[in-house]
Amino acid sequence: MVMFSASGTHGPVVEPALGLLIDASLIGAATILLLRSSSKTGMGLLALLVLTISSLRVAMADLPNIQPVTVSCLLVGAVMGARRGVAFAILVTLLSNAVIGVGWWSIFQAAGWSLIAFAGSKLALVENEQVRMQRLIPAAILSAFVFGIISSFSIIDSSISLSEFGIYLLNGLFFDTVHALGNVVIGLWLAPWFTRFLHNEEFKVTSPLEIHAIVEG
Amino acid sequence: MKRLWLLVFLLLFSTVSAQSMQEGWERNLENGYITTAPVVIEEKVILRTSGTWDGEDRPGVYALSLKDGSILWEIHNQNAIHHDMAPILYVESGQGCNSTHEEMLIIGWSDGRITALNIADGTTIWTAQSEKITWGVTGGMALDEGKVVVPTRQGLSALCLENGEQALRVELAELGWRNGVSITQEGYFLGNEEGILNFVTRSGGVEKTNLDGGKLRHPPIPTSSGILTHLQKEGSSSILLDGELLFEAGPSPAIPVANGDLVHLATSSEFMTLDCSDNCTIRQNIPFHSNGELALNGEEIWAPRNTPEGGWGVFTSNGLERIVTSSHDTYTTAAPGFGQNGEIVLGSDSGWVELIGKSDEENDHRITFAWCLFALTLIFGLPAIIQREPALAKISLTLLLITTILAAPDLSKAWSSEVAELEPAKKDWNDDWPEEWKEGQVVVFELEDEIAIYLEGHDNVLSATQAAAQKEGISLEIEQTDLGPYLTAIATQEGAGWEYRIDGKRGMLAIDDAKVGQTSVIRWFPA
Repeated sequence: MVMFSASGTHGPVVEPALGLLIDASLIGAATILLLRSSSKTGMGLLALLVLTISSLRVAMADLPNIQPVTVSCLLVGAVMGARRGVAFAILVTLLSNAVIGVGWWSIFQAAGWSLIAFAGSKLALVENEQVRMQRLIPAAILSAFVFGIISSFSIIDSSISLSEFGIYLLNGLFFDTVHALGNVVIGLWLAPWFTRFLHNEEFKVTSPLEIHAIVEG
Repeated sequence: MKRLWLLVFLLLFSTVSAQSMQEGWERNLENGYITTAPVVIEEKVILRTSGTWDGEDRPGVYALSLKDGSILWEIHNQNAIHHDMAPILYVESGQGCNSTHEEMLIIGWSDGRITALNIADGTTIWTAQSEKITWGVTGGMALDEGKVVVPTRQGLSALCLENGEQALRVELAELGWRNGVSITQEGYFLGNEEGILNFVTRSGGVEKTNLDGGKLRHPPIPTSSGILTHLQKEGSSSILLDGELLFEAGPSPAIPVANGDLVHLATSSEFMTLDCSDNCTIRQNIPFHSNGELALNGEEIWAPRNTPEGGWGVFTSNGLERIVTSSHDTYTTAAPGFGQNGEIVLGSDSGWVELIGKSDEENDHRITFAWCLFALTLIFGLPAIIQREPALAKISLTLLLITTILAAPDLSKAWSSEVAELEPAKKDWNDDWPEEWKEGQVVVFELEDEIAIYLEGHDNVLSATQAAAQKEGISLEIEQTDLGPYLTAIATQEGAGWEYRIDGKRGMLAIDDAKVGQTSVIRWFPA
């Protein structure tokens, strides 16, 4: 069965059946991650967060590569842990792309933001419910370029050589820089507030230690 | 929470600014064809409809808000018999024949009536009646010494601007249709359906020049070399200078326009520029299909494309620069209306009117604004760095981001141009092509079968592609985006868009910016 109908600017154009399969797989992955999350509390608020950040991404789609999702992924990963962070990244990608444009590239965008959310969970960006700007800002800058590279993998097919891919990446460097600058501005203005919001009791990751303390309680 | 709202406001403000530069508004007049150019006067767009859809509704004149397209007033002539094609004439307040007159719009109607309208509310200032012989006034009027000179169906009238009283009337033997008048120091020139060029003196004397057949349906063009006319003939047209044949051209000529001694003409086959500073020689001849009004916008010439795809071809001395499309493209004969601040108002046979932005002037404003923001960034940013002041750093970085967003189209174009230089050209040649094609340009469309078209003399991908498509009878769909025109469909095949290569190099620039060599191969393949 031929699933790719053409090769596109963002990679192969997928047939509807494969598109459905990609969407289902990504939703399935997000669901599994959420179900395996150590805490099931705050799912409603997580859904609200997905909806809000997706809407913000759609609203800013006309701006050149300003991506409110990236810093959100870092912080959601940092506060809520890797699983819910990755689930958040996948769901925001799918939901916002449903408006902006769904396709092969959704997988790579979801992968890019998932990696960023995962990195956010490991970089100790938040300490004592306070965001550590000296860590967040470099991470936000680096994330823009990492995301640019990962999402660019979507254009690779048999017709593109390594040097062509290099030129393609280089051509996107300007927009990656804008992405990085946007991340810094969003981080500086919103990260403290967003972190406090995420530290709402409903959102807290309940660590095994905390569970033990509660049980012993 | 305050900072959230502030940042959201700033970014959404940038979004809205970016959108407003390229979108504007659109309105369906639901009345009929728009065949003549809208006129933009301060905060109003004035336009008219000609033939109506059902034959019951009557053509009208509308004043729309330039800001949002809302209808401020409209009038309909219940006696109009459709084909109301005389361009709207705007007159500033000034001196008439014997007294002053106020600012007004002058409308020539198909029932022979000429009305002067108050621009504020559309009320009638004065009315005059000219002869109706099947039709009435259909040609372009002109202003001369406190009078409006009207090419009527079978003659010429000059009416005083303050009250519409007839100051001059000349009866002519032949019937006119879209027989616009032009004014010279010596008098008036106008043509008719019998191929006669009339020269009318201000005292009413008439001299006739027989142009040897054809129909003269535009205001004759005075140039340094003489009076240029473009006659419509059966299946072709003739371009004449002072009655002498210069060139034969394609059928159904458009209404030409002059910029000094450069005269721009069009037919169903071509867009053409003549240099009439010393005789009239051809500067450029580009395949195109335009039968309506040509219009000047600075150094650009806008030609409505009278094909089902519609849109407006924008030409410069370098050829076809781009095709501007609207949301409701179809057969188009009306030139755009241009505002003082770069607004562009489009109307077509669809009956929709649309305001778009992003003219060069507006682009200049955007760049100026970006520079101002950059200066502010430095003003806030330097103390932030020196004094380690976080609040100033936040403000300066936000300003820098907004500056970058505003300058993004230009910066990304400059960057892509540099990057494009890095990729070496590759051989893109099919041995089945004729050897002599190596001396010119080849455009390849990778449709079901590969189609290759040979061309010469094009500067950019857009120009070459359109010429190739026209030569082969292939339709193109091009969308105007913030980063330039984007080819979305070839021969109605959309897929996920189309990409191009120039001599094997993947295209990275907007197609109107992508330069091509005189021996290049431009290959379009499905994206």
